[in-house]
Amino acid sequence: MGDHGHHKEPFITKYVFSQDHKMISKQFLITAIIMAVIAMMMSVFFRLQLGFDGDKFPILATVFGDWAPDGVLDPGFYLALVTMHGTILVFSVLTGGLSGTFANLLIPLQVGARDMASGFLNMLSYWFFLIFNIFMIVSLFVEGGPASGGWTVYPPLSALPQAIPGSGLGMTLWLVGMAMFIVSALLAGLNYIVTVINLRTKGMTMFRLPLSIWALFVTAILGVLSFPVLLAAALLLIFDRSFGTSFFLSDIHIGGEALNYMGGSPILYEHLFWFLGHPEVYIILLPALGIISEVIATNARKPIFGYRMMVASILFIGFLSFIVWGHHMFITGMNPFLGSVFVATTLVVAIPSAIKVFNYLATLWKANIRFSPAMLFAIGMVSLFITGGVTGIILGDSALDINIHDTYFVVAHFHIVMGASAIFGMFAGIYHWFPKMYGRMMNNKLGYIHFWVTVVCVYGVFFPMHFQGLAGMPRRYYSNSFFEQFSIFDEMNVWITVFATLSSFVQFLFIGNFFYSIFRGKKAVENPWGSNTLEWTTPVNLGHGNWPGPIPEVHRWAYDYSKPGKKEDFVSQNVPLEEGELDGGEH
Amino acid sequence: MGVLHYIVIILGLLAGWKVIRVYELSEELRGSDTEEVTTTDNRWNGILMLVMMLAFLAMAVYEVFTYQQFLLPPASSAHGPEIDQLLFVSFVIIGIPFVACHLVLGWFAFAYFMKDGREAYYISHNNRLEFIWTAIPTVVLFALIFYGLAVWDSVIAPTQKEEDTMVVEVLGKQFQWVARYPGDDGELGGVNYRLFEGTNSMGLDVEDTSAHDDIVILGEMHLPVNKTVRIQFRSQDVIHSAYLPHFRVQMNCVPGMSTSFKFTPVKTTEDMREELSNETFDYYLLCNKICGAAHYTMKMLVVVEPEEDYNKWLGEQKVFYAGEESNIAPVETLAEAEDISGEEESTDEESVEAEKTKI
Repeated sequence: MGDHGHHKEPFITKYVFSQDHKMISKQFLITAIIMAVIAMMMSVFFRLQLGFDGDKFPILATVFGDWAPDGVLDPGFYLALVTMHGTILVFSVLTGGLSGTFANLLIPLQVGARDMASGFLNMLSYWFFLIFNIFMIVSLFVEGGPASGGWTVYPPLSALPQAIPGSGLGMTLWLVGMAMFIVSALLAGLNYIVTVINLRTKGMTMFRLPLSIWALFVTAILGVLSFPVLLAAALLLIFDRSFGTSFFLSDIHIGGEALNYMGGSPILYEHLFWFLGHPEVYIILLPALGIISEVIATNARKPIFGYRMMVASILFIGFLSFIVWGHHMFITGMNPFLGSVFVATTLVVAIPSAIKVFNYLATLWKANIRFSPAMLFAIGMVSLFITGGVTGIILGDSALDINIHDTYFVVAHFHIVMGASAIFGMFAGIYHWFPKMYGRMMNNKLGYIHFWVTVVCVYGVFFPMHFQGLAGMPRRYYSNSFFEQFSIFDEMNVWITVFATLSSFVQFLFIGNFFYSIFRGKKAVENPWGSNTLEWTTPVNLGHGNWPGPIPEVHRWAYDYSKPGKKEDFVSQNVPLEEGELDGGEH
Repeated sequence: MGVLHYIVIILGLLAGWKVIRVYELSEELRGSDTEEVTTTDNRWNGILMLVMMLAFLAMAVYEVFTYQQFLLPPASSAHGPEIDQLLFVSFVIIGIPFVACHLVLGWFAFAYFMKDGREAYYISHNNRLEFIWTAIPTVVLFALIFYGLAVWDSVIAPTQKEEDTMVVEVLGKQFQWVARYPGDDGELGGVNYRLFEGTNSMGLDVEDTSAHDDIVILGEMHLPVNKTVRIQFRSQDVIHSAYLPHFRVQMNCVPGMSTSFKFTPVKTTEDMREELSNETFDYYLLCNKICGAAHYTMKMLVVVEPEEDYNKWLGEQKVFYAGEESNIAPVETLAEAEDISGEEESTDEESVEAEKTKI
C-alpha cells in the first residue's frame, strides 16, 4: 500500500469519482436520503387521499398539476405514487442505501483492510445505482407518468400501455433502471464478498468478525445469487413489451382489441420476481440486524449474547430465504400442493428469527445501557421486528393467507417488519457511525426527539392497519367509498394519515441534524462510544487507506465489553490477549 | 410552482438551520453538552422505554377490543370456521411472545440504564438456555405447520363429490365482473379470447352448441345456500383477484389460464342481515389485485338465497344465444347450429388453429 492521505487529491477524484470506500459510502447515504425524502413525501400525498377521500388539497394541485386536478389525486396517478413509493424505498433506500452505505463503510474498516478489493468496481456500483435513481426520478416527468403497476410490476398490467397509463414510457424507464440497479447490486455484492473473504487482517478469523460483517457478507451472497433472476425477469418483460414475445402474456383482449400473445404465463413472472423478491426482504433486513447487533452490544456494554447462534441464525435465514418465495403466490393459481411446501419452509424462518430476538433480549439483561440515539433506534428495531415478525407466521400459513392476502394486514406486516424496522436499523447505524463518517458528532437531543416521535408515529400508522386487513380491506384501493362495509374505517384512516404526516415532518429534524452536524457538529474523538471494533482504532479524520501506520492485528473477538479484570469496560480487538486469557468468542 | 414557493422553501430551510444553531449555542451557554449521553438522558430514556412498551401493549389490547366489531363476521361458508379457528389459534400463539418480549424489552431498558456504579455482567452465551429457546419455537411452529396444512388441505381439496358440485364461472375484466352459469345442459360452453366483443362479454364461442344456453350476467352472481359450488375464474385482460372475504375465499384470475375455488355458502344474504341486524347488508366480490386505475371500483354483488329462490332467479335470466334475434349475430339460427356436423366444426377449429399458428 502506498502512502495515502498525504498528497492533496483533486476535488473530482476525492468527492465525485472517488474510489475510497468511505466516500462511496457517503455518496450512497446521501443519495438514499434524497430518495427517501421523495418516497416519503409521496406517501404523505397518497395518505391525504386515503384519509380524506375526495377532499381538495391545493398543495396536491401545486405539486402534481394535472395529475391532481383541483387538488384531488387522479386514481391512476395514485397507483403511480404507491408504485414509486415502494420501488424507491425497497431498492434505492433499503437495498442500495442500506447495504451501499454500511457495507462500504464497515467492511474494510471492520475487517482491517485499506479499501475494498476493487475500488474501481465499487465506484462503478455507485454510479450504476445513481443512474437507477435518475431513471426513477425522470420517469416521474414522462408522458403517462411513472410505472403504476405496483412495485412488483406484474404483467400483463405492467406490459400493456393500454392497461394503465404508467405502463408506457414510465415502465420502460423502470425496467431499464432496474437493470442498472441490478448491475450495481452485483458489482457491489461481488466486491463485498471478495473483500470479506480475502482482505481480513491478521488474526481476523471468520468467527472474530463482528456480526455486522457477517450480516453484510450473507446479504451480499443473497444479492449475488438472486438479483440475476430479477434481471432475467426484467429482460423478458422488456422483450414482451417491446419485441412482441409472449413469455408472460397469453389470451389477452384489452381496449377492444384481441392481442396476439399466446402461450405465456404471468405466473412465470411471479416466480421469477419472488425468487428475488423474497431474498430481497432479507437483503434489506439482515444489514439492519447486523447494525443493531453492533449498536446494542456497544451501548449495552456487554457481549452480544450467543454470538455463534447469531451467526448460525444469519446463515440459516439466508439459506431459507431462497426456498420460501412461493408464499407470495398461494392463491395465484400455483398448484396448491406446492403451496404446502412453502408453508413449511416459511414458518421455519420464525425459528432463527426468534433466536435472534431472544439473544438481543439476553444481551440487554444485566447490561449497563447507554441510551444514545443509536441505541434507542436499535431497541426500537427489536420491538418492530417482534411486532412485524409474529404476523409473518399468520401470513405464511396458506390457509390464512386466502383471506388476508393483499389486504391491509399485509401492508401492516411488511411495513413494520422490513420497512420501519430496517429504517430504524439504518438510523441506528447513521447515529452510531456518524462520527466515523464525518469526524463530528450529531446532536443527541434532536436525536431523542426524532426517535420518540418516530416510534410513536410508526405504530400509530401501521398497527391499526392490521384490523383493516382482518376486516377484508384490500390494499392499493384509491378509495374505499365503493364498499359500504369499509366506511367504519373512515375515522381510523384520518388518524393514520395524521400520524404519517407527523412522522414525515419529524424526519426533517433528522435531516437538519445530519447536514448541520456534517459542517458544524462538535468534533468527535477517536472512539466516542468506547467500541471494540477496528474502525474506532483509526484516526478521526481518516484518509484513503484508513490507518496511517500498519494495519492493526486482531487478537480477540469484537465483544469484550465489561470483561472482568480489565481497566476499562471495553477491549479493542487489536489488544493482545493477556497470558491465560481466553478469547471471549471461543470458550 | 412560482418563484415565491422556492423562496419560501429556501428561507424555511435557512430558518431551520438557524434554529438548530441558536439551540446549540444556548445549550452551550447553559453548560450542557448536547453530544454527550448524560446520566439524566439514560434515566429518562430508560423510563420512557418502559412506559412506551407498556403503553404500546395497552394500546394493542385496547384496539383488539375496540375494533373487534369492525372485523369480518363469522364465516359464511362451510370451510370458513376452520380458517377462523386457525386464525384464532395463531393469534394466541403469536400473542404470547409478542406481549412477553415487549414486557421484557421495556423492563430491561428500564432496569439496566447506565448509571455510575453499575457494571454490566460479562456473559457470552449459555448453551442450555439457547437450546431451550430454540427448541420451544421449533416444537410450537411445527405443530402450527401441521395444523395449518391440515386446514389448507381440507379447504383447497374439499371432499364433496364433483357431481354434487355446481359450476359457475367468474370472469374479471377492467373494471367489471361477469358471471356465467352453464344453463340446462349443465355444461359451460367453449370460449375464445378473440370473441370478446360487444355484448359477448364472456368471449363465448357460438360455434359450440353447449354455449348457447349459458347464462351470462354482469356484476351480479346468485348462489344457492348449502350447495357446493366450484367457481372457475378467468380474466380477459390483466390479473385480477376474486376476493369474497365473508366466505374466506380468494383466487386470482389470470389471463391465459383457468383457476378455481370450491366452497359451500351456508348463510343466505337474509341470514346475514338478521345476524348483523343490518338491513342493507350484501355480500360482495371484490377485486384484490391491482388491475388498473379503477381497480377500487370493481365489485360484484353476490346473493346467497334458498335453492328455490335461486332456481326462480336463474329461470328468469336470458340464455346467451337464443337464435337469430339475438344480437350476438352468428350466421346460423339455433336450429341450424344444432345441425352443424362434426366435420364442419373441426374445420372451424382448424381455421382457429391456423390463425393461432399464423400468430
